[in-house]
Amino acid sequence: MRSAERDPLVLDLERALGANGVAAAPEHLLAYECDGLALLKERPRVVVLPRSTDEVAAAMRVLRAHGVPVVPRGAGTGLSGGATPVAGGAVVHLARMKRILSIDPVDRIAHVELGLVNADLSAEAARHGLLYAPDPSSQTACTLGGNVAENSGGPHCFKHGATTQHVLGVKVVLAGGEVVVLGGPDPDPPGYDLRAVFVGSEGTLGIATEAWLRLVPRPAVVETLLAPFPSLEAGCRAVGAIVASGVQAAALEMIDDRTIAAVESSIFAAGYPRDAAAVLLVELDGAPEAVAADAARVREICTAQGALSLQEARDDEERKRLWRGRKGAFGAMGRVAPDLYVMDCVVPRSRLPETIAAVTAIADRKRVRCANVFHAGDGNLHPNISFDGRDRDEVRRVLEAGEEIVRHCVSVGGTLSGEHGIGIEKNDYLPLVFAPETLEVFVGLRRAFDPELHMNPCKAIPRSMCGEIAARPAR
Amino acid sequence: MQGDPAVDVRRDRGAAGAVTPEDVVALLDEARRLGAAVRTDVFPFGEPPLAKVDRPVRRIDVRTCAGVLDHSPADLTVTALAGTTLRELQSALASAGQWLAVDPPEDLTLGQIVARNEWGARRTGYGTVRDHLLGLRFALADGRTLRTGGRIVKSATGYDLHRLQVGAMETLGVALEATFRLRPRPPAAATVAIERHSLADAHAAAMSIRALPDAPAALAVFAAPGAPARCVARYEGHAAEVERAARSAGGSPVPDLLLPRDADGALVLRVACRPSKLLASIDAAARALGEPASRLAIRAHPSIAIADVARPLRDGEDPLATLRDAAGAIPAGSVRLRRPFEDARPIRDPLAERVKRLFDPEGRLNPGVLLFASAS
Repeated sequence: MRSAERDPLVLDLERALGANGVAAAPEHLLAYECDGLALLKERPRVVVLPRSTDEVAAAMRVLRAHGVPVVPRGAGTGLSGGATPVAGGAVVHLARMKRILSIDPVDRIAHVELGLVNADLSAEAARHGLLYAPDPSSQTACTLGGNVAENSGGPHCFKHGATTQHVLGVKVVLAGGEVVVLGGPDPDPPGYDLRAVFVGSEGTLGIATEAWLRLVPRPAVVETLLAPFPSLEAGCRAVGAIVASGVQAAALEMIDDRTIAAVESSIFAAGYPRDAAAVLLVELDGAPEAVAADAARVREICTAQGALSLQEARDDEERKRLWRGRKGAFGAMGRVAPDLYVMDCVVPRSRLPETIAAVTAIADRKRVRCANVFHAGDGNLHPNISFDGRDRDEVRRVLEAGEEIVRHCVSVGGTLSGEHGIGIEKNDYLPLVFAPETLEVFVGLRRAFDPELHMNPCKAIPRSMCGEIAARPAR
Repeated sequence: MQGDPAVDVRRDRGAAGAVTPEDVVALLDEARRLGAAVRTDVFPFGEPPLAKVDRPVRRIDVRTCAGVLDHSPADLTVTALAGTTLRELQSALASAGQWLAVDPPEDLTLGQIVARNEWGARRTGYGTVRDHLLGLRFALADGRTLRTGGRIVKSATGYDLHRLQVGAMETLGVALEATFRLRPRPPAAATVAIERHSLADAHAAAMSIRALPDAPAALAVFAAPGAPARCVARYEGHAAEVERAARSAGGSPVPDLLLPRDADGALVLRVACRPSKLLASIDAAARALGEPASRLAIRAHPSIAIADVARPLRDGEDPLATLRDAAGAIPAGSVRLRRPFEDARPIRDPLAERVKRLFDPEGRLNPGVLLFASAS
């Protein structure tokens, strides 16, 4: 193609980043049409592949000069559409910024570029006897930048906290190309804790390119227990009893019979009993005496609540196998149907049993195939609805069931998302949990960071509040 | 403050009747109509000399806006009004064997703890109030009330405006009620003390303890003129665990941490940096105070990497000038003034300034605190 015919935006970006820092060919753009929320797709106008914070800043200056909206992207594993392109917009893909800049074992701080994959940091930290605690199920693929954007969790966040508790500071490129550092490696920096609103802001405030992350010592002892139950409700009661007993588990994960069936027929097979209605995976970590005492208590509680058996991982190999089923659950659901809608809602833990019953009733009424795998300790549900995206009636029923489940969770004191974020999946549900005044301040906060609202427009706020952004011409 | 006509919503227990969040909102609304500045009770340890405010000032003092609204032991969450003291809250939680895992002075209110990001020695093991804050209802300068977060232990829903309020000194809003995540009370605790000749040796002992597999709930080092330096470590958890951990830390068993308090009339600088830089920062602060470290009162938390460095305030001394000297000398991190008053230094941060204008466009909430350099 002669340059006279080429998109002037692409030419300007190539001048700033070099030709191999920009992708605009249709076959390249195709790969960016959606993230893990495959229900919604849009092709970007251009994809930028920066190698440094300076290049991100340079790209942002060009994009602003052209008035082009920007969608940041990590690995595209997000499940709420946070990385779904906007029409006529650019995607800034951080995949090339994946260096570990330093790990200081005395300070227990990792300084990383945020295109780094979560599990790669954990592997490097392990060499120093340290651990990066947030462990989303997608940790072998998802980037730390995506984790920062979504305030990601994971099974072990029950004890150790979600991403926001592990981010000491972030380097951020704002929409106009300005680079700011929010927080930092030193505790309690003067001024406002803007990193608090940045973490979990879903790429709407700027692009985080580097972070200082807190590492924690690896626990002396880890014990993993598997308890199958004759009903999901019995398993949920056991979870409540474990928490009420004062045991501080590292993780409390529930996996239902439909998920067990899918997992056990897949490459993620973990040896979960196929005849159980649910299995509870309990992990305890810490000092040997504490783990031994807590494990005894957990066994006692599970038995009292009707556990069919109790299995302990005898070594790391067995532990990995037990976790393989849990972490591979979403992948295994591919056996059930071509498409999967992974939902994410939170309820107060004490409302879990009734919520699970409600989810089942809604799924039955809407005739959708729903399996449940969830962070029971946190009250964080993941109803997984399998469907065939070619069946328009089924898609409609899936979306209707999703909405009813969300509304139910909110009605019992829960909220829209525990760890996947709002994105474009749930933005129109925000008024269920936030008053108009709060939503207005959310938009104001975005304007404080990004006066022209170029960053990930129309994500994480109701569509009714982003009219002026939506009206932007596509090309 | 009895009889102070400027106190419109009073915290004193003696005042007739309790105030409600609605009273606070009504006062903010009135202040808005009058164009008045609003000063909340964010300096329980002594107010700094205030920047001149060329408008009327309304004081809000909300200690009687107190009480636990909802404690759900099965969910490990509690919601309480912002005027509730930490002591009242912990005592309400004790019967369920639970606690809010922070330990600043217990007579502080939850609103003060959030606004000031106030903490105690057990920050080493449990983090700050930011780590436990699940949700907040707060009022903006114009009386609008917002609520973010919720009574659930995990959320990726909306912007974390509640965590933004931590340490913001109520310049972005006035806390009305807060929800926290709770922890089970540890069944046992053990504390040990190690004496050394110098602060550096006591600090080295603390860093060795920090490197052991058992994580202490608190780890502190303190020194004062004429006494040996001390390292104290406290373990909390199961009895067998804490006994073994305390034994492996070495030293002598002591009943509690017994951290020294700041002396009356002291000038206290607080340095905050990375653990590996703490000793160097303490030395720099000592130089700024014009004394060798051996003649200062020092209370350091090696794992958190924050230390308070103190000596008596000298006659005619300008504490802010001393602070400026220290700020220019420390090798990493930050330094601030804690006594005889807290500094409210200008922060040159245009982004923070835009955020401030969003919450308080007329600059009426606690003017002079967390001042912005270009603010009028």
